[in-house]
Amino acid sequence: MIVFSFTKIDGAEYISHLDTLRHIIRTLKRAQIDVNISQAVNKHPRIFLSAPLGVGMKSISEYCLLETDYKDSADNNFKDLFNAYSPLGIKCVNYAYCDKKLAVANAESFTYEIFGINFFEVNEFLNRESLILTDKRGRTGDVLHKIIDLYFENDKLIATLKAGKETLRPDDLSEKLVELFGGRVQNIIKIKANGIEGLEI
Amino acid sequence: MQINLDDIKDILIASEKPARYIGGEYGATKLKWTSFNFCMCFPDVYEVAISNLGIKIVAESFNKAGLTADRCYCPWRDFGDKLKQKGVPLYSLDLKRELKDFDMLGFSLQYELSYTNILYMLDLAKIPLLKKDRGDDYPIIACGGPCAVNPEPLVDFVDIFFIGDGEEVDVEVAKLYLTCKNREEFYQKASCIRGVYVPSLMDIEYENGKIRSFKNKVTNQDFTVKKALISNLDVAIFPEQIPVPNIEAVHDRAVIEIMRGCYRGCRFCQAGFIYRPVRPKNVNTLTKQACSLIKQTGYSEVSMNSLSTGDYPYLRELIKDLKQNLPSDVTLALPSLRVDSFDNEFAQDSRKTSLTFAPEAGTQRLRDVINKDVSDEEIMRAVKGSFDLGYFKVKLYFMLGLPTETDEDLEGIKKIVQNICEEYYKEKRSKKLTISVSVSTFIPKPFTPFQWERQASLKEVEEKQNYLRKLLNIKGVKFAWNDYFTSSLEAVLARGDRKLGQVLLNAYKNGCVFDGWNDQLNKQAWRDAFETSNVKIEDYTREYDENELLPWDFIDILVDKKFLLKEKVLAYSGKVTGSCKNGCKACGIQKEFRCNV
Repeated sequence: MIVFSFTKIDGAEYISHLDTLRHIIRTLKRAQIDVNISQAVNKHPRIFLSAPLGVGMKSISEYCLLETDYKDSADNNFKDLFNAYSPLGIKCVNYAYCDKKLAVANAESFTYEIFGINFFEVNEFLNRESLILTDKRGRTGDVLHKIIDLYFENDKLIATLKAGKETLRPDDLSEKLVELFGGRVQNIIKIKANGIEGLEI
Repeated sequence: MQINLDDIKDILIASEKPARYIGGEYGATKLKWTSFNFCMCFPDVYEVAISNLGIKIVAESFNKAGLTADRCYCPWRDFGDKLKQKGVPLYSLDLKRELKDFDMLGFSLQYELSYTNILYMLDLAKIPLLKKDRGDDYPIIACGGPCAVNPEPLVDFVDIFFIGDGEEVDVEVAKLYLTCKNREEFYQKASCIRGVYVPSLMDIEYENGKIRSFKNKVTNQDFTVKKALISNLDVAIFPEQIPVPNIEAVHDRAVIEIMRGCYRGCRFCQAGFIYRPVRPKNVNTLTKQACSLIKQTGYSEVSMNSLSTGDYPYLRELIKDLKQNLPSDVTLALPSLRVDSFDNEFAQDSRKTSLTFAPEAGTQRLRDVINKDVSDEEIMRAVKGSFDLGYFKVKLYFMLGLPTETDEDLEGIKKIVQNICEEYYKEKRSKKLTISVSVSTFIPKPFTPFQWERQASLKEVEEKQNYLRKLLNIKGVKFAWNDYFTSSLEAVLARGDRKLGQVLLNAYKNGCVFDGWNDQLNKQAWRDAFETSNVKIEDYTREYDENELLPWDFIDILVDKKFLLKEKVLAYSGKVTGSCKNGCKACGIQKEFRCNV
């Protein structure tokens, strides 16, 4: 098995999750990297992606697990081979072989770079009693506990936010921060997935 | 000016399927700005446009010649309207340049109801719609494709038309452009190239409201444009790589064109006449093209396209060769299989969803009138063969309003359906049979033996549809019919003249776009456009006199008008001409081309 991280940038951030999967399947076909096929009635390649990313959100940290017997050779390594056959913006960053199936869809949190929020005192902000926001689905609630880490690094805000059942979307948070502190969100880039058991890349 | 996707992020996120507008597909040619920059524009949404093989061939011809061919597809309303609101011009997919920057924009005319989309794209590109309002700072607006055989409804908007095969003439014209001092010189010289029509150089003389002559403005000689013709498709341009779509396209598979033209001569079929002569490609060429496309794209299916796939002379050898050379998981699709060329072997290679047959008419008599040389026995043989293979869904296509049609012909449709049901249930089957019957209203198209016919009226068509609905009230049978207004609009635009330019402009101003999409078509806006322009729909759906000059008569598609008239007479006698495969029918093509029969 191979687990690899890949990007969704340069326009590819607008490709849906399902279409991203299709792109990966075809990239592997073009690269002649065989993937195991399921034995169910509706056969499909054994490819597993990390949780869907909101359309429009960039990422350099998406993950994919392949059940494959492919091995690097003297002339070829997986990353270069994948990248030679993938579309613009969907490029392998890193990869590793693994013996067991990793739950790439089960990250505990994600770290994002957010550009365009006006500077504010983070510690003061995190010491609030609550942070009420209404998300894109119209659900209102306190999300302060879903912010695991928050700090400025030069002109960008680095936010580590809960994933899974307690997901806090960075665009929802960004909208709230703009409302409170001003600015205009120019870009959000997912840079890391945290807490995927066994993931070492 | 180049567009940065980050700058229009708000528009992209707020639009359905934003991946339509990003480019960057694997297989898209890496372009740079060169001495001649062409943008291939398709007036429909991304998932339709990117499936079209013709525009890929044209783009390849430019890129191979060292010129630039970028792409632009019609944005859906949500994205397009927001671009306009924000003042962002429509841009090309690969270079992200605004369309105004290009030397030439080429629009593919695949169907008449896409014409307002052309105006929409020009408007979004901030290019004046009417050619009289455009100076030399704007790109040349060109059109090609099947509907270009009657270019007249679009002459108010289009500078130059390409008639016939597009593999060579477009590039020839582009190279000519680079040698000319000004546009006037360019248009004069371009009009001398075979397949090129420059409307501004043609005068039309009228007498009592009807066309009397087509004259060259400069020489005052009779004006004709002969279609461009590629004799040998085996050596013609074909793309070695194609962009693999960012989203699911309507035809998400590798497509090879196995043959251009059709032997059959069905009298209603425009494509069968305008794509003559028949030019099959050889098996080696096709296998090479299919293997290259599968390797380059990663697709799992190859579609063998032509007007009548079953008539390709080397079909068995081709299927065998493809199976031997393609990866084992690649399936073959054989669309456009005629009932009488249906073979169990071909069906086995197809995807097993449903099989589609197009008898077109319910009785042998009417099928003979339209020269659809297919018997009831052949229909039944084909459906029986499909049932033996395990198919349990059959789609049947028919037309309503054909010349000489009577109620007996409609009753014939019911009889066909009943016979199919009877055949299916002769044996014990595990699944229930589903038959879908789809009827469309006959449109008398240019360059067919029926081009003079009138289109049946709304009242006539509704009566027939109601009658058929009663006849086909049978368990397991689904009946669908198309909307009359759509058919009449298509007829008008297909058979129309220059007066329709005003109608198109008014329709666009009234908000008409994506008229080919049922949920977008605004009938009242179109009716208002006709009224404001003082043009009657009936003037174009009427019967045309055999002696009158038709708006498209200055175009020479190499098939003689006398042949079409002869075919019309035979139609009314109920006589079949049959296929060219059974002997040359002397349509006129033979004067220039030796057909492969």
